[in-house]
Amino acid sequence: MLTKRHSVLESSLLELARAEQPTDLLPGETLAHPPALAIPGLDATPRLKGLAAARPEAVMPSDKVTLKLIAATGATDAVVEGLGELGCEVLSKGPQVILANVPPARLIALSELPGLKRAEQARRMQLRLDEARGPVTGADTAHATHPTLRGQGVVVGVVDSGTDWRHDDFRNADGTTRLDMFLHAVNDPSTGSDTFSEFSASDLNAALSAGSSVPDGDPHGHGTHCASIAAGNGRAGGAQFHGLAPQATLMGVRSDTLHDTHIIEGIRRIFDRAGDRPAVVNLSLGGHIGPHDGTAAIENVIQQETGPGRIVVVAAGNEAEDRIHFDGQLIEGQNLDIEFTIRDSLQFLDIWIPRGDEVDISVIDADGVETIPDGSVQQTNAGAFRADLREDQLNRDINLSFAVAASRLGRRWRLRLHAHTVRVGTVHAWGQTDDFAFSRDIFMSQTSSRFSIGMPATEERAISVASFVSRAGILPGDAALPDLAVGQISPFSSHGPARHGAQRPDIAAPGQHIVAALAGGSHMATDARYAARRLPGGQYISIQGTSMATPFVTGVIALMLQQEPGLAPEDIQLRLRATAQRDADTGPVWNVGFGYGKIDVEALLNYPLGV
Amino acid sequence: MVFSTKSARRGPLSAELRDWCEGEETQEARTVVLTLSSHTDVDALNDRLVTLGGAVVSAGPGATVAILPRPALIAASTFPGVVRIEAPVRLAPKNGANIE
Repeated sequence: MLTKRHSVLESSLLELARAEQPTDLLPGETLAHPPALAIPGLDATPRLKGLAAARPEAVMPSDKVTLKLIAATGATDAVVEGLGELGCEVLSKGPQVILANVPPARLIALSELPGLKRAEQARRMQLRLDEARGPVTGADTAHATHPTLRGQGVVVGVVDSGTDWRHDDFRNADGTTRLDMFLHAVNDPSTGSDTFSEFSASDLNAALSAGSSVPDGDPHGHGTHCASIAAGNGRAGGAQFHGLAPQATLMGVRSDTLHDTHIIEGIRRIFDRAGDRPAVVNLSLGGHIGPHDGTAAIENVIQQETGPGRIVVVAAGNEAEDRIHFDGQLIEGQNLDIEFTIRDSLQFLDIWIPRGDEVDISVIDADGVETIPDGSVQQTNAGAFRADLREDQLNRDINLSFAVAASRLGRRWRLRLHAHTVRVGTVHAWGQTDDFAFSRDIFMSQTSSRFSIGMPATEERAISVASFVSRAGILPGDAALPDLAVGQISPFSSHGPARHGAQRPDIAAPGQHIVAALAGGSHMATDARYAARRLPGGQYISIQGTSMATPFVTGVIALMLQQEPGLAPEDIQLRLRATAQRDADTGPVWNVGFGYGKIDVEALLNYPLGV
Repeated sequence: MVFSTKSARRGPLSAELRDWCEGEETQEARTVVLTLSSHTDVDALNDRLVTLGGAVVSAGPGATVAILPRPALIAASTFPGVVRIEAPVRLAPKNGANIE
């Protein structure tokens, strides 16, 4: 029975469903004048063309239709199971999007699947300007009014999973590379030691023309996407998906493991190789084990290595909803329990107690057994742990480092802090699992999105970037995902401030959803979970994250550095603050999600020079 | 027995490296990150590390990355301006929310 509640089906699918069940109509519904199927990007397979042209009763559907199915959060497995029961063939699945072949006769039944939010036909993509550069940021307008600002003479460095130096978007019109340097950082797991192999533009050109040996640019794909947003020239897509600074000089650092040692050397190598040229480095990465006050080693490097013409831009992080941070207040004579859940076989908590506060600490395992730590590895029936207390020599706070290898996942442990003397009293803890994929829902109470910003985004000389929604659908032409609207903060975008109160992040930029270059042969190009996000042709992909917002800002800063090569981080922060768009989403002043507001590219490039 | 902030140990070594330093094989080396205060003599530190049999991987203001055998690591922990010595940590790419 067709009812009004069949809202998961887009209109074209509803027509197809009706064609399968022509007598199954609601009063007043008619098939005589079906809605036009001129849906932008509608897949023009012969069968659907026929559906568009013919009267419904004349439609002869094929035995299955490929659909994109959008599931509610956490409902993917249930939807997949339901699809199986309906005789549908699941082609790929990710946590939100499932690709499946569905018999037309089963379309109506989709509406009964619990957790299924929407069913859409496959669409043929229309290459068009990505929304991120549109009115939400003014980037296209700024490009039009500043036709000479394309990043010429500025180095854009991307320290990440790499840059696919073979991709057309990173090559000149004559096919030569746009990369001035490609650095391959490798950590030898047997020794723990790092090696760095550097390749010049000549090396890359030789590899492009003669196939000589240079390592693959980016086996994962993340770094390529970032580099493309900042400085891709869009050659592979008819310039439709170019980045912000398409004529900047590129430098790429590939690290498969993203060790902080690689990032530190990557930053230094880019700044060194840039020479007299201004340079901006993109870091779409971060972590949570450390002080969150701008004094972590990598933050110390950013603080020291940046300055006029030397800028580092950092992602705020994607942990706003992940419950990875706890904060609580010590009260003299009372206990403060930090309750946490075991999510991985090896899990870490990094707790910071203000200097001057005197606290005794015990560990209460999942069986309720309380143990006084002694700094060594200790064992209970529930698992092994080590707690270490160290007075930090840089910020003088007390760092309680806790590592636990529990025997069972999902159980709750507690760290009990008994306060004797309280001068400040605010305790912060961050949790992280050995496998990053499990780093969520660690703390059960006294947790919020605040302080979920990662390091090195807490460093005040880094330009730290949050993400807002510039397109609520995954691909151009897609309908909006449930509960997502253009202009809002991305739900995942980590919130500040830093532990010491510094106002981080600085600015928000488009990070959801962004189409940019797809590294050939990479994880993103081959993993089925990304299938629904790849554009036809295999050159571009739509993904999301503060990782994507960050290179947007990196690219804009490259344009600013072309205008004023001597801009320092503080100059750029002042301009971001002065020009940020503030609206109903952001509120009138700095806030923990957006920072100072949404980036306004046109206002930034029109900012009075030399001020 | 109590485990108290009053008795928190001082010194720059992380718990992991403190344990590692207690190993017996003096030639065994590992990569470490030394966080430096702003007044650290970076060149003097690097010279010292090399003299002690270490190898400097990345040097500059703010932090030094080095491969150090145990004796060199212990010596580095007393060098003026070295405020933290930690094992390398992995960072996470900030994409992929709701994808993987």
